[in-house]
Amino acid sequence: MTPTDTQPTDPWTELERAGQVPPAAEEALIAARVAVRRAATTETMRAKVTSARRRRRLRYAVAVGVAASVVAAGAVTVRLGDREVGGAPAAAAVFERAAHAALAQHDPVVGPGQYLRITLVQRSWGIAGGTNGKTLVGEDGRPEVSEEQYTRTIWIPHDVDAPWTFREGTKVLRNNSTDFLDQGTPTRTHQQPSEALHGVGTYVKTYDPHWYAELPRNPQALLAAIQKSDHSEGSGLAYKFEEVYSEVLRSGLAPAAIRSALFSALAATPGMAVQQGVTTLDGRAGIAIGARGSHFQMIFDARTGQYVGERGTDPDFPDVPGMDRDKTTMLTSVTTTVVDHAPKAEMAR
Amino acid sequence: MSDPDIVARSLRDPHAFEELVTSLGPRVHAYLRRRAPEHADDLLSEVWLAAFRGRHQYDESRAEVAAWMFGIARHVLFSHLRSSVRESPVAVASAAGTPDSPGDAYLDDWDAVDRRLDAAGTAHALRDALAALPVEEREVLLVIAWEQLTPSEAAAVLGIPAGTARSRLHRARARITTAWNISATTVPGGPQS
Repeated sequence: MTPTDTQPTDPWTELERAGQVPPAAEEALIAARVAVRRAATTETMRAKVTSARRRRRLRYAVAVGVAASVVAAGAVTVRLGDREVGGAPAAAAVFERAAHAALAQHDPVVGPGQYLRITLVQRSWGIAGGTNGKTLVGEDGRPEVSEEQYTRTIWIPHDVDAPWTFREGTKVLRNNSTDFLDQGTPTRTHQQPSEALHGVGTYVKTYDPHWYAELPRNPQALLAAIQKSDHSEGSGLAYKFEEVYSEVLRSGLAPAAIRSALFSALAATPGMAVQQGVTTLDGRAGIAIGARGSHFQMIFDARTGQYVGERGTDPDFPDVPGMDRDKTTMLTSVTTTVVDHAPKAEMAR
Repeated sequence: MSDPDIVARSLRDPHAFEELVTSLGPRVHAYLRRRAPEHADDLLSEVWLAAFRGRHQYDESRAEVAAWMFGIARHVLFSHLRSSVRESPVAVASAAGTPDSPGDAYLDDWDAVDRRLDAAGTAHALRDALAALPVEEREVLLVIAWEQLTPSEAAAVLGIPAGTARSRLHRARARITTAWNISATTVPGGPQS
């Protein structure tokens, strides 16, 4: 075994380094392109006979789709305070209200010796084992799924470049089948540099307090800057909404001006769908918005208009007693506050 | 033009699909090379042919194109591993069926991953921690760390709900962090030893 040349500072950097491989040989890529090209040529030749019939079917399907979306947009009416907003502008109205609500919230001021405490709570349904969409079923005839709650709290000191304190753990709320008794994970507290959040599963920029100071406040320029930072310019709206814009909000670090500008930009973004009658993680009435056709939504408090978290649904999830009709499989909330103390990191054991 | 738009356009103009090979081919090859280095070049063409023939089933609301491609690459890779198991009794140890689904073996590519870690001179602490992870947690962790996918994309690749992917990722990160910290405080020289 060849020893590493440098002392690894965290497991994530080490893990990424271990995954580095040489780039693909040009011959392999050429061979793949040639394979696709040949298949495309074969398909084109075969399709000439039936292409006329296929075009007629596509036009009909598109026309029906357009009509359906118009009907769907026109059927949505959202109540915002003392007014009702209907049709396609409903999503824009919710975002605009959220933009105003964000500005009304003052950014927390962290004094020397104090901490910004950010708490992310995620309640989700998970499946046991299972691959390729197949959920295991226990001998009791019940799908082997469990409901759990993951909580992560971060304490960020006044000097943001000093080590941060993290506490996270998973508690199982309900096991659906006696054949799968999920145990969760113990809650642990540790102290590490903020970079501990980077690498696996998070977008490091959104957890860098300095990054937000550099972002433009103009809504459209802000969207462009975030997309450029995440290299998502070519991605679809659903991806950007769930993975890029929401990551900014999920971090809990975005200042009020950034959140407000983000909501203003989204108000001008076509392709959003609104859903009323959604319940937030703490039981409040909420309004959900997502890219049309997506199963991921941002949630806003119906009374105050403030962003409170996000929601994921899965129509293919197994039927579980007590689950809502939308089959909500993920519900989160993010809260921030200023505190005077942070817990001590545990001794490793 | 976005990747979903390219797929959509390829339904009318099949040759348009080739653009994706150019843009995503290197990433797919890297995924295959990390897990089946000797066969990555051959498997790459298989993956792209499978994607081309199945492109009518691509659903933008379910996954980004990259995640969809990795899902296909995973399927091709596991088909290759199953063939290897049938041909080589020695490889049987790498195929771990779940107790409830012996006929639908959840193949574990840990042997290939471990060889990769060994070749990279990965710290023992990390290597041992990865080996100790449940196979489903490790797969989520690696597909995110190595293929640079998001948790939701990983869910699409692995055919599991997004909440499940996030949960497995949280657990895997917690286990790795704990093992790393323990090693840092109890092993002379730290995790590198």
